[in-house]
Formats: sequence, C-alpha cells, structure tokens
Amino acid sequence: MALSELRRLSAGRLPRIAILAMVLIPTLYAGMYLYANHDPYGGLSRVPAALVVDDTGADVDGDHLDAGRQVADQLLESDDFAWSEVDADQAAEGVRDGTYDFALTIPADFSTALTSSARLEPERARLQLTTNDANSYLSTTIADTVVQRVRDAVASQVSEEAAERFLLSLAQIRSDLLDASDGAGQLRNGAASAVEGADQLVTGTTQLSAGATDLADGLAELSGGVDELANGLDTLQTQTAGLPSDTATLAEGARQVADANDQIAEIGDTAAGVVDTLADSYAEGRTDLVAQLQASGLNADEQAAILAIYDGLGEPVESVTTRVDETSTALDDLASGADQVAAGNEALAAATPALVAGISSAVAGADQLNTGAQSASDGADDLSSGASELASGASELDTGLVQLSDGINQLATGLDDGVEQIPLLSDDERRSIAQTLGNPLDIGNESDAEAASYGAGLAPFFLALAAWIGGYVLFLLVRPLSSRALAANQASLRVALGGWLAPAVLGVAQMLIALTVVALAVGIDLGDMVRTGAFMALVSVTFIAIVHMLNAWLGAAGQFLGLVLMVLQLVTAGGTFPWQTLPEALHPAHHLLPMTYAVDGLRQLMYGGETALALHAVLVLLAWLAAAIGLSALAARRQRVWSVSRVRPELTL
Amino acid sequence: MSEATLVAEGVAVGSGPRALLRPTSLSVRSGAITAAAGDPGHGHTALALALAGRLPLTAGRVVPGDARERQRLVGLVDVPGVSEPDDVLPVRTVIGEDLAMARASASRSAVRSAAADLGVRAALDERFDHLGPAERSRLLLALTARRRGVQFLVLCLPERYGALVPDWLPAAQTHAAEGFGVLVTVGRQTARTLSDSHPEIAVAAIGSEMIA
Repeated sequence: MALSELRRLSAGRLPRIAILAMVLIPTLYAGMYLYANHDPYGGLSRVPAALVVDDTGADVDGDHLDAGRQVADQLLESDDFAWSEVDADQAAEGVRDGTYDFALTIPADFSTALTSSARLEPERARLQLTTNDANSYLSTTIADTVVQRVRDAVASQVSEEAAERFLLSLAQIRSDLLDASDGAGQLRNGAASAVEGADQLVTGTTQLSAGATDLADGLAELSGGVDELANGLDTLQTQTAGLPSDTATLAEGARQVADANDQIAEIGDTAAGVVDTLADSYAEGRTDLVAQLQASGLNADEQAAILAIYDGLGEPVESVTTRVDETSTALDDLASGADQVAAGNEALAAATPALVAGISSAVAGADQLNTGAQSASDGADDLSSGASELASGASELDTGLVQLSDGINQLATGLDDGVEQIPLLSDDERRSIAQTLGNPLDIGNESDAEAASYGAGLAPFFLALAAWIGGYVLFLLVRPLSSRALAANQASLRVALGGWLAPAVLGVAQMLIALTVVALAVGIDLGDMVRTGAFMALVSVTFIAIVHMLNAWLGAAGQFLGLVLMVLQLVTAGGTFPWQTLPEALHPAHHLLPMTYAVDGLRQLMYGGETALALHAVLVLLAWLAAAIGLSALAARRQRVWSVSRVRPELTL
Repeated sequence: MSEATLVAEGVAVGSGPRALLRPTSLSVRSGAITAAAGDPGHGHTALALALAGRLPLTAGRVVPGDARERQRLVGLVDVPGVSEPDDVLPVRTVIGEDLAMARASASRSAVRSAAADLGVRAALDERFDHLGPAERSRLLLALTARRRGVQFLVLCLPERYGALVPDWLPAAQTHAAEGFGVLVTVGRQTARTLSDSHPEIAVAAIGSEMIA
C-alpha cells in the first residue's frame, strides 16, 4: 500500500519532479536560512554607519591629546561596520533617509572632558549615538552594543593612563623618600660618632680635670718642698762658711807629710838601689862562678854543690832584696800617695771657696725657685678649676648630643617606615597594575556545550522547522488514507501505517539531504552525524505522522491546521530566545508541542551536550508518533463508512 | 458459497433536489447478475456504498441489515472515487496491492502468476489506464473476488472507461457461476440494450422502484 502510494506519486515525469522538489524543500529552507545567517555579526562590516569627529583635542602636562581622533581612527580601522567619516549634517540626513543605519558623534569637548580629572575639574566625556528604528531595529541594538564597547575601551584606556601616572608619581615619592632615608642614615651615623666623641670628651675632660687637680696638689707640694730646700741651703751656707780656711790648713799639713814621705821614699830607693846592686853582683858572681867552675874543671856534681852553696847564700840575699824592694816600693807608694793626698787637699782647699760661693748662689736660686713654685701652684689651681668647668660642659654636650642622636634615629626610622609603605614596582608591574585598575572586571566564559557560530546556534530550530514544513508540503500531494484500502475492509492500523509510510520515507530522505547540505555546504558542525541523522529522521516521521493524522481526520481543514500548528510551534519552541521569555500563557504550549523537543534534542546532539536530555526528547517524540498513528488508525476506522460530503466534497484543496 | 440475497428497499441517501441517491429498490441474488441503471453522477457511487454498508441511509433499508456484515460481504469493484485504482499506477502495482489486501502473497512471482491467470501478463508494467476495458473489468472483478468473505460484487459504471456489455459480461457471468451475486451499474442506454439481449438479467432503476 505504501509502495503503491509511492508509485502513484512517482509515476510520470512531472510528479517525479514534484517529488524531488518536495524532498528538497527542507534543504532549501534550512540551507538557505543557515547560509544567509551563518555569521550575521561577521557581515556587520557591510552595514553603513556614519562617524562624526568634532573633537578639538586638549592639552595636558604639556602634551596635546586628540582622543577623539584616536577613537575615530581605531573605529575606522576596526571594520566593525562600514564606517564613513562625514560631517554632522550629512550624518543626520543619512540616518534619516536610511543611507546610514546609525551615526556616532564624537563631540568637540571629548578630549577636554577626558583629561578633566587631571586638571582637577572632573567632567564626563560623552559619545553620541543617533539611530533610526525605521532603518532597522536590530541595527540599533547592535549599534548600542558597539558603542558600549567603544565606551568601555575608552574608559578603560583613560583609567589605565591615569592610574599609571599616579603610580609613577608614587614611585617618585618613594625614591625621594629613599634619598631622605639615606641622608637620615648618614646623619644617624654622624650623630652616633658625635655621641661617642662627646663621651670620650667627657671622659677626657674629667681626666683632665682630675689631672689638673693632681697637678695643683703636686705643685703645692713642690712649693712646700722648695721652701724646705731654701731653708736647708741657708743652713748649709752658714755651716760651710769656715770651710775654706780649714781646708787650707789641712792642705798645708798634708803637704808636709807628703814631703816627709818623699824623703823617706828616697832613702828607700837608695837602699833599694844598693840592694839591687848587691843582687846584681850576686848574680854576676854566680855567673862568674859558673864560668870559673867550668873553667876549673870540676865535675857537675861538684859544680852543683858549689853552686848550691852559692845559691844558698843567695836566698837571704834574695829575700833581703825582695824585702827591701818591697819596702822601697811601698815607701814610694806611700810617698806618692801622700803626695796625692796633699795635692788633693790642696785642690780641695782651692775649691772650697768656690763651693761656698756656689752654695750662696744656690741659696739665692732656691729662693727664686720657691717663688716660682708658688706661682706655678696658683696657676695649677686655676687650671684645675677651668678643667672641671670644661668637664661639666663636655657632659652637657654629651647629653645634648644623645638627645640629638635619638631624634635623628626617630627621623631615620620614620623615613624607613615611610619607604616600606610604598611598594617598589618595576615598570612592567606598574603597567600591569595600571591596566588592571583601568579594567578591573574580566568576564570568564565557561561553556558546557558550545555552538560554533550564530548560524550553528540557530540550526536546531531551523532544521526542526524545515522538517515540519517538509512534512506539511508532502501532504499537498500525498493522500493520507487510501480509499481503496478503506473500501476493501482493511485493518485500520494497517491503513494508517500504509498512509503514513510513504511520506515518512520521503521525509527521511528530506532530512538526510538537508543535513548533508547543511553540514557540508553551509559548514555547520552537526556533532555526531549518525546520531543527529537518526534523530532528525525520527523528528521528521513524527511530524509527518502528526500532519498525516490531521489530514486523515479533517482533510483540507487538517492541512490548514498543520499550518497553524507550525506557526504555533515556531513561536513556542524556544529556538531563538530562551523559552522562559515567552508569555506565561504560551508555556503549556511550549511543554506540549513536539517541536520543542525536536529543537532540544538537536541542540544536545549538535553541541555535544547531554545524551540523557536528547534521550528525553526521543521519548517524547516517540510518544507523539505513537499517538498520531493511533489517532490516524482511529480515523481510518471511522472512514470505512463514507459520508455524503465525502462522496461529493465541498472543499477541495 | 451460500445462497444469499442482498435486498435494497427504498434506499435513499440525502434528500431534496440535491439528494445523492433517490429511493431505490433492488435485490441481488447469489449466482445471478443484476443491473442497476441510472444517469451518470454520484448516484452510482452512492448506491454501491450504501449496499456495502459504507454510507448511512437517509431512508429505506438493506438486508442484511448489519452494515459491518455488509462491509465484509460486498466487494466494491472499480467504484469511482472509492475503489478505482489510480490511472498512473502500473498494473503490477495494482495487482500487488489487491493481492496484499486479500492477504495473499504479493511477491513478484505471485503477481506474475495472477496476471497470467487473468490474461494481463503482457501489460504488467503498463499504466493501468492503458488496459483494455475488458481486461480491466475482468482483472478488477477477479481481484476483488479473491477477498475473503466477499459474496457480492458491485461493478460500477464500467462504460465510463469504454467497456460495453460484451466486455464485462463474460467476467460477470464467470463470477456469478462461482456463486457470487453480481451487481453492475450501467447507463440507461446500456440497460435497454442489456434487457434486450439478456432478458435474464434483472434491471433496476437507480432512483426508482424496480422495473422488472
């Protein structure tokens, strides 16, 4: 039966073309739409937009800033839209008559306002957007978005620069503080040495003071001692007055002694001389003896005995000689000695007057010394008192320096702390902090499943819609229920299935071709092709079953209802805006109608979402399929019996 | 096949000047051929459907009275808009479809053998409307007769595709001989010809009481 219906449809060339056309309709619909809308945001660069730059620039810190020109240049380069730079009048007219979809104006005080905070006269900069909804409503929305982005970019840039400038000043302050801190450190060191020095000074002056006091004491003692010396010398003078005459007398006597001794000595010498002569004669005699002995011819022993006798005589001679010599010598010594004594005494006597004179001058000198020692002692006292004043002065200096040192310490510590508070930043760090200050909020995007493009995002919706349209269109040619089968008393389910099968096969063919074209030609990634293909096939046969059922029950009116249902599902499926944005009255329709689930399932499959959700959609679609076929079978059952209007139809579509 | 008679008494569908079927009475006996004559229009179809229990009656009754039973008993053959095959279909498809409806095998060989039996083997792949009128009537009568439970065959206006009495009569007679009750709806002219040549065939008028 299905086969015959297919055969019926395909018999003849025109019908074949018709079938081909019908099979291609979903492809045409989905393919064209997805091709055209693959990346509408990418095509924005063809949308004409006017740009008016009235900015006069501003001077800040000696630089001339032309922010308006910069923004304009960036926009012109960016290719977001087909920008044309025109004057204000042209822009206004262009937006009015549709030449431009919208106009962006950078006013004259743009740069001035941007730099106003630097001059401490804050004022917001303004950008002006002129739109005309008569041109295109979406253009307005998109223009709004773009201008927002421009605003954000400019704001971020300005904040970043301001922040960088602040940070730079802060770095300058820090380095100045650092210098101050170094200086304070040196100062502290100096103060410490000063304190040490003062300490030493204190010690030194204290010692000096003590020493001066000692000196004064010592000199006082000296003075006392010298006084005693003077007294002693006086006494000596007195005692030695008679000395010269005494020594002269002594000298005389010594001389006399000496003379006497001299005479004795001479006698001694004479005796000595005699004795010596004696000795010599003895000696000569010996020698003569020896010679005589030898000449005599006596033997040695006899010679020796004679000699011995001679020698025996010699002993006392010798001893007498010796004694006399010794005595002579002693007497000589004595004489010389006495001579010396006499000389000495004479010298002494000669010197004694000088001694006495010397003692007198010593006395005089001692008196002077006494006076001098006294004044030295007084002077030393003054020195002592002066030194102790110096010592106390040094002590005060020390105290003062310690305070100074403490104060400097505090200064140095304070400066160091100050330096600590200001962080040390490298150029890169400063820049990145400035950037973050300028743009503190970043939006991270985590995507559980992602559509590759705008077109890919809408593909599930349009594919589902294409499936419905494809199914709908088939029933312009296909008969839902075969009258032959009905008239031949066939089982209703069989009739229903038979009527559904032919268009279902065509529907599957439609979907496969559409998917292939969309995937290959339009380039939309469909995820797992097999699963997506199978799912689309299910969607198609389900939709066809529904339209089939409507046709079986209501004939031409049913076909019309199919159209109505399509529109309803178009609105409630939630293929574009999230379905929750629909008015509440439409929510039941959303949950009930099958296209919702077709779109959901496709989404899950195409973007790699959860298979469980896709399975849910599959189950709902299967339920709709079963219900639709069941209802078609019911219709078949009823249509076993004709009605008058069926025999003679009033409305033919 | 058991003896049975299909009787229509004053069967009418619709009323007024646009009535689909004016009151008609006739009877179809098994093993006999009956003709019903009327002007071409919806009346033929309406009569066929009414007899087959597939059209609610505005007036009159049919025996047997159970419509479901009649749906099984009466085979509608080539009724325009109801059971006539599509002209564009190949003969093979029509045969296959009918075999399937008769719950017989519809394989290519079965179709071939059925076609051979019915003398249309040569025309298997031709368009159905290219069949000659005699073959057409014969084919459709035979295919409908195969259905289980069918005792009466109603052939509607065979002359609309050019089948004259000699074209369809032999087939009708064959089936009548097998025990089917055959009703053929014809135009008035054909009815006159028929009653002249075959007086044994009862002729009723669609929209009026039985003539003879």
